[in-house]
Amino acid sequence: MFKANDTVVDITMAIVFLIGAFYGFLMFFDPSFTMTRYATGAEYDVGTITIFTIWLGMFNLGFIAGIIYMGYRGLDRAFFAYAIPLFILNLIWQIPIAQDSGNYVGIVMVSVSLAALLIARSRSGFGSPFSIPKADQMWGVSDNPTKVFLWLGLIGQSLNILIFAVDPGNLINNTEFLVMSERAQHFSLVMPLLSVAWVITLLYQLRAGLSMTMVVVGTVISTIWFVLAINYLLASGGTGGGNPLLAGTITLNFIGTWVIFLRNQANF
Amino acid sequence: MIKQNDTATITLLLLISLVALIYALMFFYANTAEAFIARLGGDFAQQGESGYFWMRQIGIIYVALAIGNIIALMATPEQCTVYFRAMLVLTFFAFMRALWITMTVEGGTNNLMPLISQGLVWLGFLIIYSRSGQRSGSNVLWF
Repeated sequence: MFKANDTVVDITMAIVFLIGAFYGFLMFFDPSFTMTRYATGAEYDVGTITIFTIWLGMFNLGFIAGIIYMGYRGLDRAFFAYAIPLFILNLIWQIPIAQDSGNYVGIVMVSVSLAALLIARSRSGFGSPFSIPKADQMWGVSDNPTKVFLWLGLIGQSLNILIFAVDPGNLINNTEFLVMSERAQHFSLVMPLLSVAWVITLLYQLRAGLSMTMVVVGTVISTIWFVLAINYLLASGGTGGGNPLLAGTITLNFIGTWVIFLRNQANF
Repeated sequence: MIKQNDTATITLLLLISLVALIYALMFFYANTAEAFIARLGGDFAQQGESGYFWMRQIGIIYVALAIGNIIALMATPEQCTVYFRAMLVLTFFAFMRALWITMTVEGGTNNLMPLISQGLVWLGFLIIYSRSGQRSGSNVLWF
């Protein structure tokens, strides 16, 4: 598997996959269980944290879709450019929650995943992460719609980081179904952290060429997110206030990733 | 990556997968499941925890079907023969059941959405099956 012909790579990637799948399924399909493990008695809105937990599960499901893809097509540098920074940031993000709850399982799991990722990358022969081969053109593709959506993705993710830096409460305060609390604010920090990882991998792809692994990761996440948004709309009967910026981003993300996927899948 | 070579088949499989995923998550989470029951004219309070348990179970099956359709996209039409036949049987039975429920509901119903949506999914798989050249006879193609 992974076209590496290396048992250590197979085992380490299997570990990353299993931990990602475990958390993905647990958080996406049973968010209340996860919350009981981190309950601290602190005042917070259960609905808000449930939504963030479901989103975290969704990001994990997209992540493991990328690993499945690489299992067939081979390891991909762009995936490591996304996953390693994300796991380092995730580790930092987990510390306050673990300190509050006394539950360090999350930190241990993320640390094991990060170590496994680093081992897999070191044995894959990719070389220095800062020695990036240059594609013959930007994004490595000649298809203009693909380039437009990739640029939009890069700009959008950068803007997300900027918005959080300027106004950390923006997402929660402008979304009707989210309620502000200290815990919710900490959970919302995940969004810019994810954006940092996406910006890094998109910059990598800008130079080295489009990565179908990351297109698969993005397409799975954007599809699930779009379906969740549609369900929110259907359940509220269109009367829920929602967040127009968030809804627009989710919709554009869904369209963009599918356009990129369908226009480029034949080349990979 | 996509090995199906017919645009209509690809489009239909993607649409059916998206709808399956929407239904899957709708059945899975309590607030959307309650909204679904309410739209059907039922009392979501009377649905009970066991009712929601089975809705979640159906949601899981819908997720698997959505993923199955995506996997079918990545296989050749010949490799999908058994899957398409199984889906034809499943969607036909689901359509017949929706028809039966619609016909026998007391006092009649104005909500034809379940019937229409099941019919469209069945029709979708009929088209996919026919266009992938797997129909063993010409029994339906005479018109």
